[in-house]
Amino acid sequence: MRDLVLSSLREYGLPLPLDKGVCSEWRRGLPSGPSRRVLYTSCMYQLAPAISRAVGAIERAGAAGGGLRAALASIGAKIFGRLVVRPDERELERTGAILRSIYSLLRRGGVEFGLLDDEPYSGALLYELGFVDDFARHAREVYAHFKRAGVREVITVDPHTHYVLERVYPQFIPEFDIKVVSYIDLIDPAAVKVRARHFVIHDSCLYARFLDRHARVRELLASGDPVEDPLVTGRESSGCCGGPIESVAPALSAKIARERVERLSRLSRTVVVMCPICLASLGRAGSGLVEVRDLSELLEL
Amino acid sequence: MSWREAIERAFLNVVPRTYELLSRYPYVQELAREIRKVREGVVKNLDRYIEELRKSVERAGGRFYLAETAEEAVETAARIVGRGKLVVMGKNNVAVETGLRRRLEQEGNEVWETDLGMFLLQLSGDEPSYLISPALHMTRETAAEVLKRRLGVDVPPDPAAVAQRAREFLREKIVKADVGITGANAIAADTGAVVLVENEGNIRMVTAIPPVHIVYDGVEKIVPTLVHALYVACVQAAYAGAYPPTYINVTAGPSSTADIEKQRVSPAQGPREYHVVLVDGGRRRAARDPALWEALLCIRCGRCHFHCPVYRAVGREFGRPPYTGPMGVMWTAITRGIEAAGPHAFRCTHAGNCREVCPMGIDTPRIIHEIRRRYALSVAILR
Repeated sequence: MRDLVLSSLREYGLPLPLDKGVCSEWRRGLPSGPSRRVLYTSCMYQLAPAISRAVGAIERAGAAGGGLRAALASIGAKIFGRLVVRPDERELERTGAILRSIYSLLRRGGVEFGLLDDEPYSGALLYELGFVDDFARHAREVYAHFKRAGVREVITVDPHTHYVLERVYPQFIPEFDIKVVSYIDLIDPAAVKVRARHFVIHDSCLYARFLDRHARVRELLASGDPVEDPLVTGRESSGCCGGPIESVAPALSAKIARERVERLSRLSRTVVVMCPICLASLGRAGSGLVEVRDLSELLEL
Repeated sequence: MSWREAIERAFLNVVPRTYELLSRYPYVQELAREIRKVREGVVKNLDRYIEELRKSVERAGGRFYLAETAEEAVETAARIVGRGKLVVMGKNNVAVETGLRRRLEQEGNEVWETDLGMFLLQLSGDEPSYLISPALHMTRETAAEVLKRRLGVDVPPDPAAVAQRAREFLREKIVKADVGITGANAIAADTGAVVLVENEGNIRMVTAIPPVHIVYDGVEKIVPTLVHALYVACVQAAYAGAYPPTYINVTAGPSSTADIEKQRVSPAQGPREYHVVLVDGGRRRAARDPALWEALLCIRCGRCHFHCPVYRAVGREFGRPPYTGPMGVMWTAITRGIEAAGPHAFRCTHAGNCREVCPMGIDTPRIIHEIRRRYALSVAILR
């Protein structure tokens, strides 16, 4: 897995062998603007559908039941056999729309920011998989990239990128001095309209329990009157979507996702997520049972 | 009934009850904070506390043994027990960890687990799935079938009937037993006293009826004083969703009486011998480890299991019995090494629920991530 991620990073600038063009398709026609404060996607929303495809390849290869080593061997063979993963076009279109929604929400809210022409990937997957030394090297390169571009502040769009930039980068880069803010902190809850009602919130684990945004998400969605059950949606008891382990344990990841969908579906048929990994994982597991919407798809200014 | 149904029912029974108990008895959370503080002090000065405990146990008329390894621990206990004895045991994760029962049986001893869940697992040759209720995965039908197959008795598939039949069988064994072996929820360094929490009543008998009582547990169970040990008992019970516990047992030496001229003599009605076998088995090394040391603070309440999405999905396949669930991944690393724990660490989703609900505030996700890092490194080096 490490070889796969590292070789992909070297060759494609991404943790999967993916045409990097998909990372910037969403912003076609949008001006770059100043780079002191930038909206930073880290290609996470764009990547998530590609991870789904890669996992699909693992499952089709029958490696899901064969344990970690078999799964890794399978994906490695596929990749080194030049199977370059291409996200599904419809999914790519949707994640592009999500990013444009976030862009518009911020613009309409009066937030000033620019876009980087060449966005580096944060390295979140390396860190999450435990390849910490590789992550540290990569993080220093990303930091240098930001510095060269004159970036002083980044606006993140997903919890994984936010977590590594705010909480992990400073552990390995003592001089890290870039301010990290989440787009959900920049939207005024009093001004926002919510396009749906009586949905259930599936919190991002990172936002809810590591970045203290459980209440913030509810402030933003309050007028949609979300359905709450402390054992399903509470800060301590809400569960994971299973997505973070889909690249190493796809069968278990899918099982966790199915169980999560089942619990959520008892509260509502509309599930609101705020993370591209949750969107891909629950979207796949919930097909036909629930509709999974991204937070930004529901917010309107 | 599948694992899924079993864990969901258990979740709905225990999780709301635990929240309700913590709300009704808020002082328990204060006690938890106090325990975290004093146990940090013990872990950082483990050798000093082990020595203090040794002196206290001997002062109380008991015998103290420190076993460096699992093998040394079982051999020590086997020597104390001898051959051809009837041995009864209280639920004891360190006994499972070290394979104590099997070793005693090899010496021709008749050994019985007296905790109902452990008794059913013993009869069925199965492994525990959960620290507190080791047969959590077993249905009432399976339990009745096990009694029929192994003891030849017809019991309806009803938990009360199963418990009654087990009680009848085990009572006879306990009364006749030569040796009782228990673990410990906490061991007080100042007095050599062992504190045990239970609801079944089996531990109370196992510690008091056989003429020899052996305490067999890990060095991390040491706390500075008997008062702290009682705090641990209260906190463990509350966070396990059973407060007040039906019984809290304190044992501080062989039985004795001072009824004649205030001269203390031993034994009286209870055991004549009191042995404390403390197992290191990787714990002292963990105490010096910059990441793993914090896992030694775990008080085995089992609360993290119910909040963990991976454990809820796969049960005892996450971790290695008896140490399953989020705490189990850390404890598999402590007792069996990074190689054994690594594959389990890779299954952790880093959901963070375990840290939120831990009475000791253990940063379990961080520790599991570190195990993952070390395992990834070791695999890369080996390739």
